[in-house]
Amino acid sequence: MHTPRLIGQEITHARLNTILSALAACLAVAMCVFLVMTQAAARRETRRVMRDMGFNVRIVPRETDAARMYLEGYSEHTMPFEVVHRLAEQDTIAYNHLVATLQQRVDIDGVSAVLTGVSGELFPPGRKKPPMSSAVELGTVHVGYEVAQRLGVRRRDTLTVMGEPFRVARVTPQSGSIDDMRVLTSLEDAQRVLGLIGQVNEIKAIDCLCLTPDEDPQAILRAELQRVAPEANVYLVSDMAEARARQRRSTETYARVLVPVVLVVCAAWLCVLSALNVRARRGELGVLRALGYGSGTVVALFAGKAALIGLVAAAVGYGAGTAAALVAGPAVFEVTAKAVRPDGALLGLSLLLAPAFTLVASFVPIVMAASQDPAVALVGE
Amino acid sequence: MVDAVGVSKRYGRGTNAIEALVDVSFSARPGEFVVVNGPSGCGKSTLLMALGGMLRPTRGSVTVDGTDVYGATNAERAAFRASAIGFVFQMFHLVPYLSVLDNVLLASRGAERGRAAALVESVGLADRRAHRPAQLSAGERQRAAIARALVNQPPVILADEPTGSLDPENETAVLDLLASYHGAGGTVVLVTHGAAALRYCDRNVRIVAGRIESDEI
Ligand SMILES: Nc1ncnc2c1ncn2[C@@H]1O[C@H](COP(=O)(O)OP(=O)(O)O)[C@@H](O)[C@H]1O
Ligand SMILES: [Mg+2]
Repeated sequence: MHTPRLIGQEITHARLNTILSALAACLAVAMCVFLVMTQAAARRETRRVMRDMGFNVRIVPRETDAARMYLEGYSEHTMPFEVVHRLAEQDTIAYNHLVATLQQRVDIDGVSAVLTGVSGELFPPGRKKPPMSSAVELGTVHVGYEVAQRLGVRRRDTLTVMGEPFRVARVTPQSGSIDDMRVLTSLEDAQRVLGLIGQVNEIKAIDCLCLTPDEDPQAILRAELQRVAPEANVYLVSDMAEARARQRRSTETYARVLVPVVLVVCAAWLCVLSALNVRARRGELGVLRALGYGSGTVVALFAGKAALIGLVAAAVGYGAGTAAALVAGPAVFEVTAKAVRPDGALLGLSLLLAPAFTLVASFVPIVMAASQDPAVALVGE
Repeated sequence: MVDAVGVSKRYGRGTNAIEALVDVSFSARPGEFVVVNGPSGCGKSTLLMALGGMLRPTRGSVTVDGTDVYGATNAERAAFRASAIGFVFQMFHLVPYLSVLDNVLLASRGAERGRAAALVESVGLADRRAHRPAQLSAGERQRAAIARALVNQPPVILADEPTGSLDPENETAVLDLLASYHGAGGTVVLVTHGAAALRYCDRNVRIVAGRIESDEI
């Protein structure tokens, strides 16, 4: 009689046992699939939320007096725009999303505002990320809420700044911060109207250090900057940076701990089930050997069933885990709901790993049973 | 020819070790019907399993029809069990998920269905051949097991208390089946407590505490 047929007969006979084992394996696969899918979403969510928290690294000219900068909101000194390029060309630098700004307080029709020219974003090589802040088009301004209120300007109006007319592309919604007092222009426009061609007074960035609590991020960033751009100095907006690092660490720890824990629990679970199955079938095992079947056939008989259970578990578990992630994911991850998507690669991985998993889990009890003297299962009953 | 020389078997290690057989020499000539009895736990099953290539003795050797059973490789020993020995157990040990006929075919290693079916019929289970063991009575199960043991026409049948779970009627039926196999020239080693088997046998070997106490014609 052929092994596949025997496996089939055994499965239909021990239906409940097979279903329970397959269910266990299914749950293991489903949990892993769910976890992997939602983990990816969680990571994206964290990244997005952190990004929305804004820039937390301020690179300013070295001669800047910190006290004055804090009071004024920007450095009174400037440095060449070329520093941004120099920073962006570094591939070891620990920050990202570089944006150069040139700010200065100006008077527009009797209203005091901060004229802020912003460059497009620059990224270190090979670190292309989605843009964080849209650059302002040449010849246009984005007017802060308070400034717009005071001057009574609206979208598509013309605003004259230091004698130059600009089209109002946007009135920014109220932010409750200094941003309400800004008039944003492109960097080039700001440089021209302020007479500071080629100059910037601040480069904003986001640190991408994955810091542990005992590291001093500011010192690391300063050392890096000293090497690349000695004419500049760096300040870290520390509460923001810390919140960001904490958030990142907690997500990573969660993933690093939870995934292995689930895997280990499921492996142990399958081992126990498989050992129980082999134990329950010891008599059958002994008889097959008494009938002259080699231990290879016996192993194939048990391992075949384990592999089959693994395959079924992979397919069903993948479906169940994906469905669970699709249902629960968007509720948990509001911002990146669309990022929770079925992952075909995960199915392939499941089909490969789940049978390997069930095989490995059942291999030890099977081989132990098959390597005993066949009589041990039959005598002493 | 079944020949065991100086066979000892120890189970376990250290203080828990059990000497199930102590220097037992036993032989059965071709066509002989030997009954082995003795108190429970004296080592009867152990001896039978050692004779059948199912349990490696701690010491001693077993030869069946010229094959040094434990000097052979695992594969050779498996082939030896398939062709030379028919086992019958007290608890039947039919494969629970196979029908009566499939249980017999399982042992036959691809032999013709016709012969297996005829054998099932000869043990009186013609109308039971598609049933699973769980659907059979104890006597029917043991008869199915005997059909399975006979399917390869082995020279030797080793039966371990095959009537131990049966009523007297079925006991007689099973002993008759073994007797007819013996009548056709087969060698039988039968472990039993019952006196009924003594009518059929050529020899009666008694084991006590792992040693042969008596061996009578
Ligand atoms: N697998 C085993 N492990 C340990 N002891 C065993 C095992 N099988 C049998 N024994 C012991 O060996 C002795 C002989 O057993 P057995 O051959 O089954 O006796 P019998 O068949 O005569 O009742 C008994 O004391 C039994 O408890
Ligand atoms: Mg016994």
